[in-house]
Amino acid sequence: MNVSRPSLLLLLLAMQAGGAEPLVLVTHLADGSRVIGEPTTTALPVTLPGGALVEIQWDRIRRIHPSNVGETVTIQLLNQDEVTAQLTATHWTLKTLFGPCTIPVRAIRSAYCRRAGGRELDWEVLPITSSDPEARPTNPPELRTDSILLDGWTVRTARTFARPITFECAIQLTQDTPRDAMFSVRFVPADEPRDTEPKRFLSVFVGQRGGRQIIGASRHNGHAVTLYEGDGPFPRNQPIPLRVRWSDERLEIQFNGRTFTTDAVHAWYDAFHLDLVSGAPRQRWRVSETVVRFP
Amino acid sequence: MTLTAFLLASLPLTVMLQDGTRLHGTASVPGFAALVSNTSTTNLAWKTIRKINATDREAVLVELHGARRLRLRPVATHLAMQTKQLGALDIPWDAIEECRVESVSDDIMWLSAPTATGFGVAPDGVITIQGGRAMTEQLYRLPLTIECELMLLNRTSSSESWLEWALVAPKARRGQPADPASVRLASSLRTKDGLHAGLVLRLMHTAQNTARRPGEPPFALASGVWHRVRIHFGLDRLRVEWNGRPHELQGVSQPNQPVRVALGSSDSQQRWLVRHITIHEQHSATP
Repeated sequence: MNVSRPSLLLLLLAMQAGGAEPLVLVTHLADGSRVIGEPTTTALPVTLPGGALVEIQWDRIRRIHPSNVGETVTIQLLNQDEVTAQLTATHWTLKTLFGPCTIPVRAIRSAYCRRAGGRELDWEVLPITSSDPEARPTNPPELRTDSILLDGWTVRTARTFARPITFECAIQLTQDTPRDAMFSVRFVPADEPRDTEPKRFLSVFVGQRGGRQIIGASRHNGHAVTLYEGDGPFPRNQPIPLRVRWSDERLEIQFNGRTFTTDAVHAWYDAFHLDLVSGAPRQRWRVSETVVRFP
Repeated sequence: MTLTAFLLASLPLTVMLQDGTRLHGTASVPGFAALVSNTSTTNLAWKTIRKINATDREAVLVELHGARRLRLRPVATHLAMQTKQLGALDIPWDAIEECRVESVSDDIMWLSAPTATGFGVAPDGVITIQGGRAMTEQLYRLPLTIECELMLLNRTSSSESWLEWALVAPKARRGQPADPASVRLASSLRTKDGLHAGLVLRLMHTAQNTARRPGEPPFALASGVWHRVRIHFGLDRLRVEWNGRPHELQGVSQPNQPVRVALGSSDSQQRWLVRHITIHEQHSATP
């Protein structure tokens, strides 16, 4: 997208806008707060490099985060294009569960747009470590307000859930990761302890093994199903949406534009936590935008 | 608002709403006013409250320090709070999922010898311990519950390294030990099988020293993460919940005299952090 032609940009965006399903904006503030609500305007006013003023429809925006260039932000659009710009407005107003909330833009650290419904998740690092010193993480866990860096650690939701449930997130494999790298979403029964590896779980995994991409599901007893195995390494340094839906009948996994289903892996847990697990230390996965939805 | 009321109101709160909104701030009122019946109300000071679960539409579940729970109805329809970024907010209780009061440990005064090192309290209340020991200025009566979070920052090659919570009798009576009970968390403990991490629960009665190690297999003490600990010194038992997992020692009566609480570690090369400390006498949990 050529961002040096603002008139054309506005026209294109106006043509594409409209008819979108309701969306909310999730903002992460400097004090660690997270405010979620529907924008009261239809578009985000920005100033492009060169001085042109444009408005980008909220329903075309994926995420907004600080850029490395001065006081500008990087706006990632739904089609993966990126715009570097300065935010024009000093405040954003959202319709929240506690009424209209006006947020000073200078307090916002990052933001992203998503479909309405669902709720964001908070995570806590589990004090699980290996008795083998060589297998222990070397870096401390990194739990930010808007993302988690898994580097051999496991994080778990404090809340418990029941099926049917849909879990969504964006995962990113960072550059300095070895040949094999695996990321798992684990459903762990609520009565499993926090400080040891769970004896019972159902897991969905994505990653690479031996330089090939792999997606699958497994249970604690070792029963595993490979749903996809493809040539080429796992994409690195780009956030990729992952969606896992677990219902009574099946597991459905949506990853990087593909959908996989299986009814070959079963478990019956009345209540469960969600765990996010990296395969081993030095397998660095950044996970963000974690949301659960219930039908 | 008076200065006292202002100080009481300034405890940090984290409020979670049902859509995942999370707000950090402080309460704008000194306490949580709730209906206990159709005709009477109570006002719970924020410092006695651990968290309020508001998922039930009919009432909220108030969890107090010391594990007591009360089911109450808020008097106000909204929770008034002050936030740094958004200013004053009124949050309807209908939208709240959980309200957590962040523990502030600065109401505990720690005493140590003037030349002692290895025990420091940061402005945010986090304690760093490196071979030092201190005890509370306050005296407490049993039963007593201590809650905190611990982090081991680094491992050392010492043969035995531990962090210990202990009760200290200010004036040991004849035939009774000065340290009636303690809980020792060891990153390295010598057993017949070698050096392991472990928990040692010690109850001392008269002149007898009864030290017992739990029968659990040795556990790996993860460094660099926070561990949740709750220690209950009862009149006839000692119970430790380590990351939610209970360990208990029963059957030995505790001396019925006021005690101080001591906290210390053995190894000056090993650093421990301790935060969110609350110490509650059981009978003081009544609203």
